Amino acid sequence: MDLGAQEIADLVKSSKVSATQVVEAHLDEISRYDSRVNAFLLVMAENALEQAKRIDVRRSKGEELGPLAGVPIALKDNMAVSGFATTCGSKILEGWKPPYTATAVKRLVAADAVLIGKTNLDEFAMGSSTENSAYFPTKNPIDPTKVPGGSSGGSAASVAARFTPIAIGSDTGGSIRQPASLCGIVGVKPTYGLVSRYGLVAFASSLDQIGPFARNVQDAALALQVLAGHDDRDSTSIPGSHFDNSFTDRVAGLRIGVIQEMTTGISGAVEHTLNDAIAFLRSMGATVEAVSIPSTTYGLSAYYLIAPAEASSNLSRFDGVRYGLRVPGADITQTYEQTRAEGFGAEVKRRMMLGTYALSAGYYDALYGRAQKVRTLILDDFAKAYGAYDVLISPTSPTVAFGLGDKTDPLAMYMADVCTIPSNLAGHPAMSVPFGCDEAGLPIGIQVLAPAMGEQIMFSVAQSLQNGAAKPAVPVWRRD
Amino acid sequence: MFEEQGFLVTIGLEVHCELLTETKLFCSCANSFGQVPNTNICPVCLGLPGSLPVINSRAVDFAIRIGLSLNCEIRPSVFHRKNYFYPDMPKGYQVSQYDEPICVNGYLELPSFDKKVRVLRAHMEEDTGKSTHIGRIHGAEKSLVDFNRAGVPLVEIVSEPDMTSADEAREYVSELRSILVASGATDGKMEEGSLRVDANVSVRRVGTNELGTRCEIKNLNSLRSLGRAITYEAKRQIEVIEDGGAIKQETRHWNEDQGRTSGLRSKEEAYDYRYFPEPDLTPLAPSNELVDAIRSQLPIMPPERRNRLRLAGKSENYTRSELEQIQTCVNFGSDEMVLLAVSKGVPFKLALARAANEVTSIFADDPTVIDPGKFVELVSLEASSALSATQSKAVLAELAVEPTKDVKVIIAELGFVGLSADELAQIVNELIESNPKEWLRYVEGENQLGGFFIGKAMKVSNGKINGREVAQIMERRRNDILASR
Repeated sequence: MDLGAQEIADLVKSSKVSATQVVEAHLDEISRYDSRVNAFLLVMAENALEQAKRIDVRRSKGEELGPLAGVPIALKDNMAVSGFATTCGSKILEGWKPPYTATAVKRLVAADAVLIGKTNLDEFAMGSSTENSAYFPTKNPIDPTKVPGGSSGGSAASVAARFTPIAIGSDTGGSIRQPASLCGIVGVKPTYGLVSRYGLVAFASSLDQIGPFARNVQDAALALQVLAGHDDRDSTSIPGSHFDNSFTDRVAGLRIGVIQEMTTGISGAVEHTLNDAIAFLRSMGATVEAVSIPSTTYGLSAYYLIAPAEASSNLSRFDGVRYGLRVPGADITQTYEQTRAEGFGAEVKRRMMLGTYALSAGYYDALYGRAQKVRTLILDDFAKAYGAYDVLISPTSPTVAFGLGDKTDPLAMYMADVCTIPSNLAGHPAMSVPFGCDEAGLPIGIQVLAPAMGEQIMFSVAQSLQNGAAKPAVPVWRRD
Repeated sequence: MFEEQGFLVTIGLEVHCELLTETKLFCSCANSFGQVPNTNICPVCLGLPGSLPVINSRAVDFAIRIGLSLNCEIRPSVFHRKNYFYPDMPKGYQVSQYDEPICVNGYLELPSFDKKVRVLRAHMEEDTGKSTHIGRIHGAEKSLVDFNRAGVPLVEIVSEPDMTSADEAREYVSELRSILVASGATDGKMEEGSLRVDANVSVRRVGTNELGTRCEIKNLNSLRSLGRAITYEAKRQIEVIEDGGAIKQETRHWNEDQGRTSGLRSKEEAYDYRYFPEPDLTPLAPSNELVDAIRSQLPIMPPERRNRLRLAGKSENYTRSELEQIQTCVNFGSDEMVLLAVSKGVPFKLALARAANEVTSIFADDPTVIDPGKFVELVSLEASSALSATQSKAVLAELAVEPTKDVKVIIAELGFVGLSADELAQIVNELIESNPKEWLRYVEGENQLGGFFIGKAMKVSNGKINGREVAQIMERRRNDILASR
């Protein structure tokens, strides 16, 4: 169960272990422990075993297998897999089975990965704790009294719990990196346009990006190499883009900036871990200095106008006319109202209302329009910073994992993404690497940020940080 | 027509035009008409969660064609989302161009009115599905939705409010239609919904400058409906104002059977479409090279074709019926053969009349059937009096049946081979001898008796003679007699 993706692929390719054995072992682990975590909304056991069998048959015929041969993978349940329920953690999509498969998922399957199941998330990826799922909250495998973070909490928990070596999430404002930090694993938000969004149910189209979770930097890179690449079905996909999974752990001579605006308002333990990371990178020969990126302080405000604005439009299609939940009313307007009132949870409604206001006549310029200007400012500021520094670092989350039910104020919850949001607004890549923990053993991640298409150097710094990181956190049942 | 009542009418038109692309605007579903409902659909045009649009570059080419044909500037443009709920709109928003349309600031000429109507903009957007209401439009029992049309590429052409009568509006649409069809961007079939017109109509008192409150009339599916609806609506508005009322800005529905417009919504609703840039698409920035390439491929447009014909006729003052013939030829596409005939020495008016009248009626089913070379050959024979008008028309009719047949062969088969001058003179002589009384009266000045002789000649020759030639011979003989007296 502690095998990583690369190790599994090597064993399967060399016939030392069959894909079926790998899948059975992981399904077994899920059936034994997922009741303590609730990472999965759907376990695709039958499909996974069939897929594994096909891989084994091909291997026995001497066919060459893909880079993720036999590697079990969990998918956040906002990605379409043909014929399997895709709920987005919402009642409004309960029972809906897409007739098509997301491009990113197709790429995984083409690389011979095995789809194990669909993981829990905050409804429509709106949240930072996975408590907003309409089905059940997911718990942090390291400490089940804590949240796993969100919105990709189920995927993060799956990897941290050793249910799968890799899981796929989506990151609109930190939804991969923040749960990775809180669960003590690696989480990557690639450059906007590097991974196709086709088949990812949109939250905020200009910010959403699919990325991997893994327990080590190399596995995350392996997964990203498979996920990345141009897709004709996504107009925002970067032409000719790819990610080459070859990088070193050398940081000597690199100039690394520590984003000043992200070092205030963070917990003591997080600050401590950040200082350790700075010291470690210096010891490896990097120049590490404080850098100010003033506009990032407006990032949260801009994000909470742009993302809800886009969401209010993206979620209009859930009207009860064609698929999903329908609560019939006396006329079409009442059907819309009742369907949407029953189908959506409170946070989703809150954001749709926010977004509707932000786009309304008379408010557009002051709200949405101004937020887009902030976005431009952030891009300019990042560009300036990258003139002086190769990469930037910051804490991923201002705090360690918080208790389930602790954050009841939406604004307090929104603050969880304060360090991660600017990368989404800029479209830049960023990732979280586990580096330290607090006294209670709760993991703390460091965020590495790079300019657009700067994944190579980002992974180098992450790999180096991994070398200096504290011992990885393990699921609670392994410590019992 | 309302000026006597002291009112001026102002009309602006919005014309939706379906593009003749193979596939829809954002997916690879076929762009076709008349299929079984909900069979021509995919995740993208159904707006299924997770699906994304990809622009059809052919549709962009067509939009540029339309813009250039209407003398517009082609600009970089951005797709926006127009957000509103409607059952036949699968995403809850329509992807359209808002404040940055691809074509702006063009114009269109109304030939009969010698007037330019400004084209404010022409922008691209996707069509919605189609709702069929079981029962009345208000409070229908149920509605059926067909998504086959969802995602069909449209260009909406918006005029400035430059028209002042139903006739001008009709000519605008008619002229626009022929330009659009000539550009190749659309088939222009109003009855199939390829061209859909909304009219904005307002009235104001003569002597005032500020435009009145306008009403938008939808569901105008023919030129006839357009004209009737505008006239009805202008009357209605004038009556409201004369009764001391005020016009409410609203959308009205034209009912063709009742011949009246009615308000679409019972309660006043201010729509806020919350437009914002569509994040799933990148801005369009047509290069100068692309625009130039498309410009170079455009055929000559109707206004210029009209001008070429007028120039070929070398007249300053055409009659109304000649102007109509010119327009008919341009609309039908028989103008080229007129130019060709004139270049071969055929009189303009003869070629124009045949091309506008006979060609358009005989070849109505398929204008491409007639071979311009054969047309020129035929009208040349007619011009040289080798064929009569009646004969010429008969040959055209035969060409419609067998388009590749040689004109001379047809003439021979129909027995239209002209008689020699001697043979003709012989016939005339025999007729004079056998009808001496009638001949004397003709010589004495009863010209109408010329027709008597021509008719006899026709009979004797089985229609092979040219009546004009018979008349000429008789004229000469009479002059000889009168001179010898």
